[in-house]
Amino acid sequence: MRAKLGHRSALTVLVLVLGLTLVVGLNPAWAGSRQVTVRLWGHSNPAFVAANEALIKEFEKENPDIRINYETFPYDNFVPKLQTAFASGTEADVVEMFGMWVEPYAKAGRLDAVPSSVMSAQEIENTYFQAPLSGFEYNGKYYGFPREFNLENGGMIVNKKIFDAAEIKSYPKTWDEVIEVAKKLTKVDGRKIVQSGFHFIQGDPVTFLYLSLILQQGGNYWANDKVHVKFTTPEGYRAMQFMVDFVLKHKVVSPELPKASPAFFQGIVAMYPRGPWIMGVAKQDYPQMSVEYVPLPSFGTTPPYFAAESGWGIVVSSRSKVKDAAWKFARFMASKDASRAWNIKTFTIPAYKELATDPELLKAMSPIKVSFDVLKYGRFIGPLQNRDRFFEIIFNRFSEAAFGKISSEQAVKLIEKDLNSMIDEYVK
Amino acid sequence: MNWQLTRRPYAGSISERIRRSGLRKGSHVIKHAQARRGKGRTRYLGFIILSLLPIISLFIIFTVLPAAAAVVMSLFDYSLIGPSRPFVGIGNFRALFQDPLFLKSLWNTIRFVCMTVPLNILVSLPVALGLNRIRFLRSFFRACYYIPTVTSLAAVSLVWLYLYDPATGLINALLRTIGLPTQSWLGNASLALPSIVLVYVWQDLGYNVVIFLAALQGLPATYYEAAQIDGAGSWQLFRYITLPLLKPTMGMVVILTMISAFKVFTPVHIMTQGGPMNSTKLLVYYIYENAFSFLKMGYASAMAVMLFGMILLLTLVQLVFLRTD
Repeated sequence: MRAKLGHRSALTVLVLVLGLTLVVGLNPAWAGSRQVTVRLWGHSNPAFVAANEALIKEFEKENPDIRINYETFPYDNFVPKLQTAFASGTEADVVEMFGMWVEPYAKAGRLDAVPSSVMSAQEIENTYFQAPLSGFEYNGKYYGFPREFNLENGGMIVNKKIFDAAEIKSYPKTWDEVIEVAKKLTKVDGRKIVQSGFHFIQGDPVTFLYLSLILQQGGNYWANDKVHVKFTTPEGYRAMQFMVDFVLKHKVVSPELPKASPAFFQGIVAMYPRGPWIMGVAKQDYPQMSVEYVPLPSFGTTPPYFAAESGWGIVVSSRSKVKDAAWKFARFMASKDASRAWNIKTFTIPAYKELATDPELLKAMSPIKVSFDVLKYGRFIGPLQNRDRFFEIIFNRFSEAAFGKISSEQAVKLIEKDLNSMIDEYVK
Repeated sequence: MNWQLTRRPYAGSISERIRRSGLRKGSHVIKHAQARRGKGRTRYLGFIILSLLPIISLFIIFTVLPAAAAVVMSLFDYSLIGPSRPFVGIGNFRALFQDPLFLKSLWNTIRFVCMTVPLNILVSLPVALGLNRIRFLRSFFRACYYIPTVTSLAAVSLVWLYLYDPATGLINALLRTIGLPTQSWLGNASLALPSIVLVYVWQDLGYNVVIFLAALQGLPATYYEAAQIDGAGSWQLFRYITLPLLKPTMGMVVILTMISAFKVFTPVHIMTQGGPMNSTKLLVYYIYENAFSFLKMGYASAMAVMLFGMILLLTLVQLVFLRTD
């Protein structure tokens, strides 16, 4: 009997302890000391991953009650991954997102607007450059913080070995000089170009170069309604003709060559206009290559204006169950110190205004100093509706003109027509 | 042991056995026997259903339901992350025929299939015939032809991307060595699609070789012996015996190769991304672009439904034409 009572008591105590543990564990109010886990998703660029991991360590040290679970995905799969995850509600709490992708997610209510307790709109505008910040804005609200000023213009990477071999001592300072030098550095085998003096034929460089050439003539490519595009302008025609001439008139590049990036790193391109981040790729993946980043001249008499399409940033899911911790982490990642460390490691231009003149950052990024000089000329690219289609349409029509299938004038007309039809599909 | 000697003779059907036994209908013994037989049949059916359940469940969850969902989605202006999904009826299907890129990708796909299927059969059949005949290093050669098939198409595409490189690729290096002009295999709009066809056929060849080889080994030797006695040569043996007997296999190979060619995606995604000038934009790649890059899942689903309909129709037509007696 005694033994029976003993067993019963022990069982009762056990049930009570288990019950109490469950109640305490499940009640957030009583679980104050418990660690909160914030899930972070990003793409698997090695430099980005290394920079993020270092910052996560620092954040976790400062905030022992928050643990960051960082998962990365290859860039090619990242967009479909985000779309399917946000559609099914399985997305991470914090996501590393490119500014141009933000609008449809914000429009669908999938992202949390930056709470004023975290940072006021005024403070956000004062802290970050307008061009990268615009990608994170929807309906007057900001849906995250930019960490990068994505810059694809203002400079070009040059292959010093090719310049040295041709005994060309200085880099071109005007477009006329670019053409002249490019002709000298182009090599032809039979009728085929085997070394290009100036190669820009690839999706992003073609589009960015085209838009910048228009802006640098004092032109604009948006129609009066600010929704549709207007490329059939003297500036639009001239810019397209200028680009097609590199292929058909000056014969310094061919659309049959490999795309500009792989061709440059194969060592068969002398000058390649691209964003300063290309120096990071060169340093990390092609350390044996002798390269330099030099300014690209302005097309007109105006300063070197360029179209900028936001950049990488950080957003918080509207369905996150740990929003406070998620915003605390996002704010930390986009802070001045964290941005400095991240920009230096990833070789990206800071979106944080003060960092553009930060001596430590400028010293670390001296090879791409030229990009810092043109930051103030960045103009937000505008409401593209669908970034991929916008770029693809311009690239394909340019390619048709470069292959001689259509004239550059026809290319401009078709670009305008195709883009406006595309815009109409999205704006209803 | 000879099984025929030990097998019990057939006792007739149950109804015959009941009739022979002289028992009356409805008797206790008959009722009991029938009940036992019913239970056995139920158990047997239960076993079959239980065995098939996992594969049927997988088929329903991962094939039937998504296919049905695609049909439903094709009727909506559906975006994975869009805030609203209005019903548009057949609007997406109507829009397809006004979309020049859809028509271009459809035409590219038809060209791709028309190049791939005959080329695959023209190469795989002689290879199978050769492998069927050789004795020396037979297994080695069989493995050689099958290795590309078991290799990931993504890996194959990457390797061929380097082979095709106009500046540093092996193919142009060989052309240079023998004094022939080099080509921009993937950069030239008229060469890019045939270049992808070549990669695809190379990768897919082993599969058809194995099917043909299995069929060839199953052909009765008596026909060949009789024809050889009549003085038939190698070509006549192939033309009048092998080819007609391979007709059912040929039909199956044509259908399978065609279906797989209609669905090709990986080499395009890795090697050209549909370029240059959309010359390699195939239907499945355009479906992918619409669904995940252009955020038009409903429109992409309409294309997928069209593709399904086309493949189904062509398969039925081929089945009718290739039907054997």
